[in-house]
Amino acid sequence: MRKGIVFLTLLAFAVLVQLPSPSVSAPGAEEGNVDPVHSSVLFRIRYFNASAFWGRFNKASGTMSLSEGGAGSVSITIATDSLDTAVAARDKHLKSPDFFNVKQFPEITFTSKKVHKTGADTYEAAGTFAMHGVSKDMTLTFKRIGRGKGRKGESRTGFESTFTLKRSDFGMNFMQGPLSDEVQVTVSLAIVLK
Amino acid sequence: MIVADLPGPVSALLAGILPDATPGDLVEITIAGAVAAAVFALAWRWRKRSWPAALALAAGYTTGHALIQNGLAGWAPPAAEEWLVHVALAAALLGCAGLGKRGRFWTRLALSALVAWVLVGKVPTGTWGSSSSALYWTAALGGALFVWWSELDFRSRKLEGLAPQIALMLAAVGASLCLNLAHSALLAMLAAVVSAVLGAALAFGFFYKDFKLAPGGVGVAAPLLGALWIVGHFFADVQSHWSVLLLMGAAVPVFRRWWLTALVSAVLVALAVYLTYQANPPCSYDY
Repeated sequence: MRKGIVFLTLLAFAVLVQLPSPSVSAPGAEEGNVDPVHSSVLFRIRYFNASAFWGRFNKASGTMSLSEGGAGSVSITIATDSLDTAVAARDKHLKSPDFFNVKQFPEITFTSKKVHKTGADTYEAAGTFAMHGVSKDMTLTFKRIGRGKGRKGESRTGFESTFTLKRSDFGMNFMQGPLSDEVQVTVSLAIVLK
Repeated sequence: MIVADLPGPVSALLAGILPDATPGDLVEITIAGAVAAAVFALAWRWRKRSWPAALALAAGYTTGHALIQNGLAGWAPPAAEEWLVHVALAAALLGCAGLGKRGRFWTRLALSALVAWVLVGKVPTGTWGSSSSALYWTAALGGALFVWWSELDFRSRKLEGLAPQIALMLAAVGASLCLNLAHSALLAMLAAVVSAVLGAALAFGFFYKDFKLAPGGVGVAAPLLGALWIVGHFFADVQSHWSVLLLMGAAVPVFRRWWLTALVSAVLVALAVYLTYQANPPCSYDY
C-alpha cells in the first residue's frame, strides 16, 4: 500500500513535470529561431476585382531577438519555390517569370533595421523587404500571440503581422487587372526561444 | 477527347494554347506589329539601308513589351526578361550605325557575348556546381548565338525574297507556343510580339521585293529571339531540345524557293511545339 502511494505520487509528479504550463510569465530579453513547421506565410490577392484567393509559402525561416525594453531585430527568409495555392498548374504559373520567377529569385526576405515596442503586445519593425530582386524599406507591425512551453519543455512565443504591398513596387507587373496590384500578406511566426 | 486524338502539334494548339489566349492578349501584340508597320511605311524610301528595319523591329518590340509589362523597367532591372528591351535597343543602335562588314562582325560578337553574360549572370550562383559552369554557359550560349546570327545574316543578305522573314517569324511563333506550354504566359507574349514585328517585316517585303531583312532587321530579331530562348531555358519550364529545333527552324532559308523554306521551317517548329507539349501536358487551369 505504501509502495503504491509512493509510486502514484511519483507518477503524478512525472506527469505534472511533462505537462506544458498554460502560460509563462513575461521574460526579459528573448532570442530565438523561427520554427518552420509551425509558422505560416499567407497571401491574398483579388481576382478580376470580383473575388480573392489565398496562397501560402510552406518554407519560412529566420531569427528574432528582443531586449527587455522592446528593441531588437527580426529576420525572415521565405523560400519562393515553396509557394502553394492548392492548384499545381497555378503554382507553376506563379513560380514562372510571369510572377515570382523562383529560379532567378529563390528567396523573399525581411531584415529589420530597428524594432521598437509600440504597445503591451505590439512591436514595429522597420527594415528592408526584398522580393523579385527589388529591395524596399517597409515597416511591419507585429503582434505577440502569446508565450508558452512546447512539448520538449522549450520556451516558445509567436508573432503575427498582416500588411499590404503593391507587387508593381517589386517589378511584378504582369496581369495587372486580372490580378490586383495590392497583395495582402500575413506572416505568423512561431519562435523557439533559446 | 476529339482534340486529344488529333496529331500532336494540332492538339497542342487547340487544347493547350488557344484556350489561354484572350482578345486582351492580342491587343498589345497587334499594336506592336502596327508600330513596326508604321515605321516601315514611314521609312520606305530608305528600305535598302540597314536602319529602317532595325528601327521598326526595335520600336515595335519595345512598344509591345511596355504594354504587356505596364511600362518599362529602369536601366538595370533585376528580372532577366526585362533586359530584352535593352537587347532590342542596343541591336537597333548598331543597326542604325550602318557599320561595314568588319564592324558588323565585331559588334555581333560583342553583343552575343554581352547578351549571354547578362542573362546567364541572372542565374543564382548556387545553381552552378562551380563558378566555371556560369563561364561555360556564357561562352557556349554567346558562341551559339553569334554563329546562328552570323548564319542568318549571311543567308538573309544572299537570298532574294521573303524566306528569311518567314523562317524567323515561324521560329518566333514556335517560341511563343513553346513558352506558353512551359507555363510562362509573359515570355510567350513577348515572343508573340517578336513574331508580330517580323510579320510587319514580312508584309513590307511582300510590297517591296528589293527589301532585305539583313543586316538591320536580322540584327534585332536574332539577338532578341536568342535572349528569349536563354531566358526560357533558365527561368521557365522548357527543355533545351525545342530551342535547338527552333534555331534550326529559323536558320533554314537555304532554299531558293520561299515555300520550301516555309515548309521545312514549319515542320521543325511544329516538332519543337509537339515535344514541349509532350513534356508539359496542358491542363484545365485558367489564368
